[in-house]
Formats: sequence, structure tokens, C-alpha cells
Amino acid sequence: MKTVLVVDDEMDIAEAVKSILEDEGYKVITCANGREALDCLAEARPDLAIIDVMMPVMNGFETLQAIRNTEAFASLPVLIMSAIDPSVRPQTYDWAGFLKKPFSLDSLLKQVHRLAPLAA
Amino acid sequence: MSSGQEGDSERKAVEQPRLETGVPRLDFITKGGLIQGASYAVLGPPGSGKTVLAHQIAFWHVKHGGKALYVTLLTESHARMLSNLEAMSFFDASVIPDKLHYISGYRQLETEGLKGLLELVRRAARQHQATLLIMDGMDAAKEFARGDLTYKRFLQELQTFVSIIGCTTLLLSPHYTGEMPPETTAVDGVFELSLWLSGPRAVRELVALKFRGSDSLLGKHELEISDHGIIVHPRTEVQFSSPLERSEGPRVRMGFGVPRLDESLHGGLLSGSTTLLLGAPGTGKTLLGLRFLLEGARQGQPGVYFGFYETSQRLIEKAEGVGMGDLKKYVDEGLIEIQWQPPLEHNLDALAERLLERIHERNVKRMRLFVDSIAGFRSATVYPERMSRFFSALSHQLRMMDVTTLYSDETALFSPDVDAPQPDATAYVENVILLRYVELRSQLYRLLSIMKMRESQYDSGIREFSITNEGITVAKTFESAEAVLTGHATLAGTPHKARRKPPMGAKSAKKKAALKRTRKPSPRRRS
Repeated sequence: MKTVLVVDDEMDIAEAVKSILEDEGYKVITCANGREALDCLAEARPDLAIIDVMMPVMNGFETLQAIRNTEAFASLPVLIMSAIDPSVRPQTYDWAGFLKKPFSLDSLLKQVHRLAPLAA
Repeated sequence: MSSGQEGDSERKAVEQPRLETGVPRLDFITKGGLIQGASYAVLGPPGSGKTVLAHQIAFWHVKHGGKALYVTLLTESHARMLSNLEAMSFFDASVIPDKLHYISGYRQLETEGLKGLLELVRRAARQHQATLLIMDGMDAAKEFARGDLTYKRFLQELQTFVSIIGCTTLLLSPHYTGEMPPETTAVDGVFELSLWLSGPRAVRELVALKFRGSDSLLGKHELEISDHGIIVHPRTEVQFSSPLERSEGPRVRMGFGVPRLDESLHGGLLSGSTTLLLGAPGTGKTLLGLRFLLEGARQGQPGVYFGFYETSQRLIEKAEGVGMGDLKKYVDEGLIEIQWQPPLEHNLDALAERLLERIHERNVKRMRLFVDSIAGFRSATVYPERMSRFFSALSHQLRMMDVTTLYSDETALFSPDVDAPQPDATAYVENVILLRYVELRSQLYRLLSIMKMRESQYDSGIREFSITNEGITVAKTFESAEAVLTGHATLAGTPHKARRKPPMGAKSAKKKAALKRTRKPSPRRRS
């Protein structure tokens, strides 16, 4: 079973994504901010992280940077979700995909299936 | 791994997709329908039509390719609910349960609380690929929340989920006007249904309180429930606040075919104008209005009679008795259409819709319309203060449709003053024609005078107006009498004091009143 880490301080969004992805056959772990996410990475060993940008304690880009700096997760696919397109930022970050909020079910599943395909 | 350029950018800030409701004119109020993936509270007391409204939307939605999930919480059983709806024309048993699926969420709510209910709804909505979710009996969920905050939190989680799966949601709760339930702040839109009594009449209304994401016609709108379901009647004054149609071509004169009257009007009423035909009962308003339609028909102009009191047969008979026998011919040919509104309880805006739709359907130029009378509209309203704005909007719309309109309205039978029942009516009509009785030499005469004619010259003379079996005639002015407009004319040249004759019966009434004041009670009566 593939594991997806969902990081969003808006718990209704995290819970909705969790419910949808669990129905699809994923194991889902939710965290409320970047710090919590980094703390549970080693134990969860996710196949994909879906990270919101605007969060307290550690924002999405800082979390992404921290993940890239952790050798074991340097190549973990990260799907950034935000109401603002991150490509407008001057810095470049190594994310695998972007999900613009509010997003549709189709676009969520398309991205998740692409980045963490389930076994046939 | 790429650098983030495979983002989901398809959801731009463009017009949001809508979900048509299939409820006549509800989509007009929301300017296109409910917003897909948004959630709406439908509030109202028991019997106000919440369940009918939700089902009407659900059946329409599945008929047009969608899938609906109906979740009940401590409401009537599904079987009972469906048996109550079977008589409705929109009901279609064949779509149940594949396209319209029912589940009860109460057991889940009782055993696992709001979290369990949310999970049940999430799974069922995904399983049935619902594009419309209806949750009926939300008061039960509210009670389980034991606090507004928990309930709002539940609503927020539900909303986030339905928004992601693009499922439009209706949350039905019993509600009594005056309260402001917590869901009104949490949801994207609020529709409140109400049911109240105006005298013996039951009035149903829909109030659009909130509609996020789009312009809408907020406020109260009357609604009707029939075997076809709910029909909403948006307030005429907001419905036609910006009429789109424009009057075309040069304006022409629309005469009555009554020589001296048409001369006084310098040829007739201007096309596209509105005229108030004001007069006491029996002065001949209906006949003069029919004469106006008949004259148009004789010239090939179509006409509509929109009346409340007399049937088509009665009107034709009436016309035949006063030299307008060819009215029947034009009615039979369809050039003149008689729209009789049976003496039932009417809805003000539904009447206006019926009238305008009929005119729109006929789609002809230079139409003449006779509304007999304004009182028919007035008796249909439960908000008399609306009448002025209502008629102003209706008249404006008729004007824009190039319809030449004659409204009749009634004044008191005998009164020295001309008290129009709709005093501000003279502001929204271009022309006013007054018919009244005048007493002269112990004889009653009918008189006609043009009180106002905007954008045109007119003859302000007061003329005798008579109706015989030969037809309608307008005579010369009352040159031999004075003060005729008061209804109590005096012969010209009579000394001033003598001229001020009291109205009929006034003398004897005065005498009796004086006698009463001076008479002392008799001892016999006191004992």
C-alpha cells in the first residue's frame, strides 16, 4: 500500500483529502504544519507528500527545502498545494507538481496517481 | 523530478459552472443556477416546501445527467416521503435508486456523532459519484453538535469535501423566521422558505438571503406549490429593473374611433404610452377600453384584454349591445385576445408574468392592451406598499415592448373630489382620462375629460360622454354649465350663492343631523 503524507493546517482540507485518498486505496497520514511533517517522515516513510504553502511554524517552501536537505527523502515527490501559483516566486523549488486551491477531485487524483501510482 | 511546471492551472478565476435547478425562475433569481460544488442552506417551517424544492431540483438534476444522493436525518421515512411526492409531475420512479439514491444517516449520527455522519456522507457521495447532495433534517445534526461551533466545524468539513468533489449541496433545516441559524454564516447561500397568513390567505415566499460568488436578486419572492412542484415569482420591480427590449420605429397615434375623443387627443394616444382610465362604477370604462381594442383591430392592430371581472362571453354580449358587434369577429379571428383571470386568489407577480409572457409569445408590433382593472392587481398583493414600484416596473416593461396600455381604475360613485385609489399612478402613466357622473337639472350625465397627456397637446375640455345602443359618443363641451368636474354642476349665469348646490340627498341629511343634535331625549325613553 502506498503512503501519502498530507500537510495542511486547514484540517477540513487535510481530512477531506485523507478520506478521498483512503477510498482510492492509499494509506494517509495528516500533519498540521511543516515541523510536524518532518518529525513523522522517518516513521511514515511516505511515497508522496502533499504540502500546503501557507502554514504556521514552518511554511510549505521551508518544509520542502528541509525535506530536500534530508538525504533519505531528497527524492521524495512533493505536490505543492496553494491558492497562489508558486511559479511566480523568484526562488525555484524542486516540487513534482502543483495543485491550485480550490482544486477538483479530478485534478487531485490525476496528480496523486501520476506521482504515486498504485499497483495494477 | 521536474520543477513544478506541471501544476493544475485549469481552475482560473472564470465564470463558475452552474447547476440548473429546473425550478421555474429560481435560476433567474440566482442569475444562472446554483454554483457547482457550493453548499446552500434551505430553511423554513414545516410545510413550507423544503422537501418538494429539494426533490424537484434532484429529479431535474438526474434527468439531465447528474447523480443525486439524498441523506435523511430523523425525517419521515423514505417510503412515506416518496409516496407524498408521487403525485408531482416531476417525479420519476425509474431513476431511483441508480441515479437518485436515498440513505438514512441517523443511525450513524446516533452511534458515531457528526464525525461518523461526515464519513458516511463522504463515502456514499464518492461511491454514488454524486453531483448533488441533499441532507434533509439538519436540525438533528445540529442537536448532536451541542454547540454552534462544533456544528459549524462539521459544516466546514462537509463543504470542503463537497467542493473538492464538485458536488452541490443542499442542507434542509426547519426554521422559523426571526432566528439566524449557525449555518447561515457557514454556507455559500441561504434560501428561506416561509408560510404565513395574510387574512384568510396562505402566503408562501422564498427569501434569497445570501448567494456567494454571483450577483442575485436577493429579497422576498412569492412562490406557488402545485402538482408541478414549486414555481417562484420574482418581484416584478426587480425582475424588470433593467428592461432589455427597446421600442422601435416612429410613434404613431392610437385612436379610439370615437371622433370627438380622438380630436381631443390630437389623433389618439401615442403608441407605447400608458394611460389611466379613471372613473366611477358604471361610467363606461370597460366599454371605452373595448372600443380602444376594437378600433385597433379594425386597423389590423392586435389587442389583448386582461381583465378580472367579466368573461369573454359577457364582454362580447356587452359590446354587441352598444354597437360593437364586430368585437366577436376579431376575438374569433384571434386579433383581439381576451385574457380573463378567474376570481381566485392571485399572486401579484404571477399575474404580471402571465400578462408579459402572453404579449411576448404573440411577438407582434403595435399591440394594444387594456387592463381592466388595476384593482384586480391590487387585490392580489399582500404588500400594498409595493404597488407603486410594481406598476412603474410593469408599465416601463410594456412601454419597452411597444405596447400601448390602457389601465382602468375605479373612483368613488359620488364624490366632489376625484380620489384615485392609486394616487401615485398618475406619476407612472403618461395620460389620464377621467370619466365621471355629473348631476345637472335633476339629470345624471357621464362626462369625459383628459386630465393629463404627456409628450402631446390635448384638448382639456370637459365633454359629455354617452353610451347608447348605437355606440359611444362624445359630445361638445359643457358650455352651459359650470363646476361640472365636481360632479355637481350648476348652470352658467346662476347667482354665485345659488350655484353652490349641495349634492343629491345632502340637504335632507343635513336636516336630520341638525334635528338629532337639538332633540332632547324624551322622558318616556329615559324610563
